[in-house]
Amino acid sequence: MNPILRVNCVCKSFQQGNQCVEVLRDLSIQAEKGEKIAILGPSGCGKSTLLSLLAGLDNPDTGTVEIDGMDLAKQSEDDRSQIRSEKLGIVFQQYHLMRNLNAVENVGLPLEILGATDFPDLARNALEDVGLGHRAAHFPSEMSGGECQRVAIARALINRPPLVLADEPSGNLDQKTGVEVMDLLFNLCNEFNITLLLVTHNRDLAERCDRALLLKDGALAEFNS
Amino acid sequence: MKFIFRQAWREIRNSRSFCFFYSLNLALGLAGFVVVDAFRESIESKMVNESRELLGADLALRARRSITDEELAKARSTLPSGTKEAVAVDFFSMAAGPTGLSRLVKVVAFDPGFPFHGSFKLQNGGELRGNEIGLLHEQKQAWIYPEARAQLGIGLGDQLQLGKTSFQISDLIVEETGLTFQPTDLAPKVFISREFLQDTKLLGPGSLAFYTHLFCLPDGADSELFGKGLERVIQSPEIRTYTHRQAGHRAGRLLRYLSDFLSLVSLVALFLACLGSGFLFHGFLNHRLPELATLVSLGVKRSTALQIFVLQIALLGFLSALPAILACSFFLPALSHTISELGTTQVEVMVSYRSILLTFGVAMGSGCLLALPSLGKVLRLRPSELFHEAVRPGSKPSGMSFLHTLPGLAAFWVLCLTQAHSDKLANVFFGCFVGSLLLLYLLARFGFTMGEKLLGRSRLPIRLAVRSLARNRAGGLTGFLSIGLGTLLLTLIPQTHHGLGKEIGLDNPKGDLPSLFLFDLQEEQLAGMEALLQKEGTTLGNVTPWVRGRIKTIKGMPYEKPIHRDEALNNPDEQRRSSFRNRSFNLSYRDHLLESEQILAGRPFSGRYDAEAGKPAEISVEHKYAEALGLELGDRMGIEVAGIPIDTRVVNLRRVRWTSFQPNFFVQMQPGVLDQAPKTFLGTLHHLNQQKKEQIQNTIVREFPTVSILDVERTGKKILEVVGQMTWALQLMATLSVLAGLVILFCVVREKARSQSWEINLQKVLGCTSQQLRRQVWIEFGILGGGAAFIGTLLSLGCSYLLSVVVFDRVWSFRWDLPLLVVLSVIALSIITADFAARRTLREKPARLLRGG
Repeated sequence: MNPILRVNCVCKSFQQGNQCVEVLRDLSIQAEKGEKIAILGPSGCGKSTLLSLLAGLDNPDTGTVEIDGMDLAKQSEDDRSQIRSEKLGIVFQQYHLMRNLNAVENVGLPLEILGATDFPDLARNALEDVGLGHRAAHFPSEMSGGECQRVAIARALINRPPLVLADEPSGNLDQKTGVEVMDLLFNLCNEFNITLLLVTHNRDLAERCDRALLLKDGALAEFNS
Repeated sequence: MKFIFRQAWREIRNSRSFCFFYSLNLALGLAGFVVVDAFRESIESKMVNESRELLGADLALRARRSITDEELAKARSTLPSGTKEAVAVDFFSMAAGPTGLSRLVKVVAFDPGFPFHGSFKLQNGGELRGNEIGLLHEQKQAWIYPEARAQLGIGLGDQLQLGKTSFQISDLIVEETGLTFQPTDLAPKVFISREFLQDTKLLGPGSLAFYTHLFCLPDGADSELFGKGLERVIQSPEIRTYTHRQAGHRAGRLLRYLSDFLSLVSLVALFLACLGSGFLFHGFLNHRLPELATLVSLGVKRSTALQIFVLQIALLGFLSALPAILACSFFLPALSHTISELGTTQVEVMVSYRSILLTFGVAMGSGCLLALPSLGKVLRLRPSELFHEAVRPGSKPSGMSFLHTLPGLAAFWVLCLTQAHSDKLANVFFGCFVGSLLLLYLLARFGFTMGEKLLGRSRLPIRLAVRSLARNRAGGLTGFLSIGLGTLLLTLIPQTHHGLGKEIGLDNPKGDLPSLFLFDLQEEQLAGMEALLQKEGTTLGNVTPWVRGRIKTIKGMPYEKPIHRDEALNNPDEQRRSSFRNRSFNLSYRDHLLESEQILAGRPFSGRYDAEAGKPAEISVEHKYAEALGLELGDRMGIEVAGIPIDTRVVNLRRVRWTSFQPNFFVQMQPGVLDQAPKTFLGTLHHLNQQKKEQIQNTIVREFPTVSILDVERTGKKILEVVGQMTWALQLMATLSVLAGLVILFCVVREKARSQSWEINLQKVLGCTSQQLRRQVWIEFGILGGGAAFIGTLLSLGCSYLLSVVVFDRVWSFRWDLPLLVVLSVIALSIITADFAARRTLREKPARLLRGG
């Protein structure tokens, strides 16, 4: 069976003034269907850059990023958008909900993008799944951080993508809420057999994954606690 | 597509405040646009649909002399059988009532049958078509306008003296059609039958009168086609051929000029409104960029994201056009009033479907064009920054983003060209507009930077205010440009009007302007007239011979009558040239320049003409007339006076200040050539008070009934009335621009306050009182409004001077009170507007900062 995510010898560097900073160096990673992988690393190690490449929001200098067998660099901008809408769910540390949409509209957005017509019902169900059925009509400004992140998780999973990229989902939450949110994310990924790539500082969370990798000096290595 | 519509609608639904101000801004600009477009449409429609009534016929030949039998035979040979014909003669003359009161009137003497199209509406006689008029042609009767009745103190049944005979007033005119060649008349009309014209003895040799032969074609005949045929056979440049369409265009000239200027002024309001809306959209989009990045991260294509916002703008444009069209009901009655004061024809202004469609198109298109610089950001969006903790997703900066403003400017230029019928006017306007915009922009940037440097160490509120202006440039510059441009317009129009009023000098009784202007003085009447005036204690000044001439050759080439091309109908520059070229011209002779003349190129006359020398006679030509004829210094011009050819050479080009009301001519010849030519004389009377003026005028009419007298003060007032009405309409549009400017300022302050609410709250946390912050807003926007108004006023003075040089031959006068009033008012309005806009943010509790905003 093909891996859902395959990153092969990816390099990425940025120009900072006169200096060329190499952020990722010959980085490779592979994730199978349903696998949970944690990526740890200190601040500034390149985690955000890696996520941008995996989400097809940026292109590597060299190497390939394949989602479900499709090389992102070979796709057009529009095709990459299509892949994101069908194959990827993203959970951001800052939630990035649409402020002008209420909870149910935020959750149903990926389905709307795909042209589905039954999105309001599906979104309402997804909200129920994350325990926020009663908040359907509420706007992000009217919800707590934990609730916003639950909405974001429901949004990331609503179209059942094979791969979810989660960037410090509990980073902005207190410990108790963070734990609750992560439980929810893990449970839902397990339930729907979704591959999860979790970027985190939290070793406890890393331990809940099938494997953990340490991003250091632009390369990945197995992480052993 | 459904997704795009849904998202666009959600954006509108959830950004109500932005949408309201965006639409309000655009609606203000569009209101002026749609009103002026409706005005223009109504004029065009009137002039096209009712052109037959305006001429009173299908075709006409018109000349300042009687048309010869030979010429008429040629003309008739081109017309189909069954064509009806009538002659009308119109000229200015003095008329006197039974009490001895006299006034200048326009006499129209016409044949039975006139008007072939249209009718006379009389107070007592009701509506009479041409073939229904009986008694007027059988008895010595006259119809007059109520205005003449009031001026002459005359009533129905009274006798009106015209020249050597008198006519009984049988009815008053309510409305009439036919012979509408002029947009407006300086004197009220008096209608008589041509049957009795001879009895007046008003038309002697050299008298100025227009002879019009009117033709009514049989049903189904193409007047344009027969018009071309007439034009082919009538070779004399003195005779002008009119189709009813051409006559309609000529009659609507003044209204069309007004609509051209109004259109251009309304375009400024529209531009300002778009500028404001563009600014608001810029702020809105900046605010929405992170969410846009999120949308892209969820799989929305950038092109789709772009379409969402384009659709939103188009929808908002559509929504803005609705109140603008409704606002027409407010402006249209005012404009209709102006038109009724200006023209000789009644035009009912209505909004046409074309105007409505155009308004929707402009509303939706202009919004999209002005959003272009902001929309570029969507394509340069960096959604990868969503993963950065401390970075707010934005778009890659682009050094070429100013290029996105070019389509908007190009569209504005195209609008200028289409709205003003003259390319020259449109280009001059566009050039001045862009120049002013650029100058305001540069001065604002320089001023903000210098302000920060110079006032950077002053008291805290001033320091913070100038710092805010210098460091939040987008809003400051938008506000500065809009206020500056609005002020420029607001002061430019009355400043120009003031210059014209000052020149005409009605407020200066001791000025050089004559009190009365005498014309049609025969040579044999001169001595008697001088004696009469001496008895009355005054003297006849500026006695000037008036000779009629015909152009035979220009630069040695025979001068041929130019064919009236269709484009001349729509282009005022072409119209002016065409009118100059067609005119058999007036000339005079004298050896010196008047105070109102100035030689621009060449030399004065060398003295009296020496017939022995065998040289061409020297002439001086008015520079615009020379330009229209293609004459330059040293060129030869063959002139025919009373059938005698005269070879002449241009020795100088003159500028003439026509508003001086001195006897000036397009062509002046050196003395010694025309002394024996048939001529009449002009003369002026100065320094007469109203009573003396009336008395002398009545005496002259009694003793010399064929001499015409123009009351310069009355004429000046009439001109100023017309100019005043036009100024009023233009001022209305300019006020709209200032209003748009103030709404922009409100939006700028509101947007600034909103984007800086974090800083404002922080200042409160650090100890600033609300009052201090409020004062800071007052200072900031007082400086902005005052600076913009000051620069705008200076620019308007420059522009009004330029306008006076180019259009009005240096009629310019500085009015100090208006600029001062405008600057002070704009400062006050800016402060009030800013205070109102920032109030909500300033009242916020700083605790919001602790909650993370």
